[in-house]
Amino acid sequence: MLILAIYTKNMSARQDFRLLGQIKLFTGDGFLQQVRDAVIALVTPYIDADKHYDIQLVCSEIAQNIYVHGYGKQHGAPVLIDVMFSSQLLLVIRDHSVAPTHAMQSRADLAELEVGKRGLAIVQKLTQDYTYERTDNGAKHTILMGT
Amino acid sequence: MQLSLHNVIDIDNYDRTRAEILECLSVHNDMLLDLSAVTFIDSAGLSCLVEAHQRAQAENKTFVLLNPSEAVVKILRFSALDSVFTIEHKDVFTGQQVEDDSTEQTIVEDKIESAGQWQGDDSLNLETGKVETTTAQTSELTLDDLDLGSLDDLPELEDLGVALEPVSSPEVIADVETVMAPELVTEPKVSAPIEPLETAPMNEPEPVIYSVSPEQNDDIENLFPVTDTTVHATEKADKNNLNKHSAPEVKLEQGKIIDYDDDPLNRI
Repeated sequence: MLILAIYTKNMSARQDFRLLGQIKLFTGDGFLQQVRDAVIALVTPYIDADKHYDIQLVCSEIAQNIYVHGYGKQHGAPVLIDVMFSSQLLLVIRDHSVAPTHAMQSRADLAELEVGKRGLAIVQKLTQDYTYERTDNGAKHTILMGT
Repeated sequence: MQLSLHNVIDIDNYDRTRAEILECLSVHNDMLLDLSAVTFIDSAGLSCLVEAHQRAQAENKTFVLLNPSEAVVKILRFSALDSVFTIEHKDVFTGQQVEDDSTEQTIVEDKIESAGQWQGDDSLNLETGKVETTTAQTSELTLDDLDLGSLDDLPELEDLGVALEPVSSPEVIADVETVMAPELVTEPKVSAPIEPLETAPMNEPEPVIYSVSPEQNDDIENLFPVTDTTVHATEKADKNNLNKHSAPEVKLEQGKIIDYDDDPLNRI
């Protein structure tokens, strides 16, 4: 077991997170279902079933944004998810997507941008903390959820 | 015209679902979309519903969500769109409209949430044996806010033929108090030393690594370098015969999330 001591903005004190597992996936058909199933398989022993739907919804929205907006629906692009747990659930999702530029956004389907915005609103509603950062070679999404 | 959607509605079937709904709406003036068999729906699926609703409004048509499943109701609530759509609940066999219990329950839950949240918690302190309340309740919700019916509507007990007994004697109440109070305030008495259970040491579950296929796993190892992941840092520590349970702590400044690229575990 690996224990990580982590502070985040919404924690009043340090928390020791247990790394439950790491999920490695590639985008493509059925990608979102794979993300949902794998995360739930990892958290099931630790988190009550009545919270599973919210977790699935958050994972699905983030994975969808990565797939649609980060990778432009490209198949075979990598996504790595670290699932950690203490009294809260911490998900760190990394990808190698290219940063969206203004030119790309103006070309993007307006309907898809609406979907993305709606998805982010749902994520913010269901999480205690959600941060999106650009890294040297992609992006990192950090999600903290109460359980 | 009634159209039924089943199982999962997400980005994988977004195009097909959207096309089916809009095609049906283009042909018929009244559309019932049966969502009782939808097990999961995300923002992509929700967008299909929103687009169909907007199209119906623009063309003066009727678009009704029929028997939405719990998954659908949840996402409508999260998006604050539950009041936008026309929602009907009908018995699948008789076609009769039925009352939606979940909506009533939702209203009560919303009232409780909006009136204030219970910020504390009752917990039993195992050392003192006392029940401790950490924070006072700040809820301003009163019984008047909940529609519980009128007490005047209740029949009198005498009308029901129930004979009323005199109030219990004070001695009985005193007995209850003397029995209950020591249990709450005194430390539990242990008559004999507790022997430790002879059980096998519990093995901590190892982190599980999911991957789609061995070939792709090799690819992803190259894409995400070994020094970039905490799991590999642990494996390296094990190879160096370090104790797994005393893995070095990563202490970071408050207000920051762990940064894997600067993770001291990677330098083991």
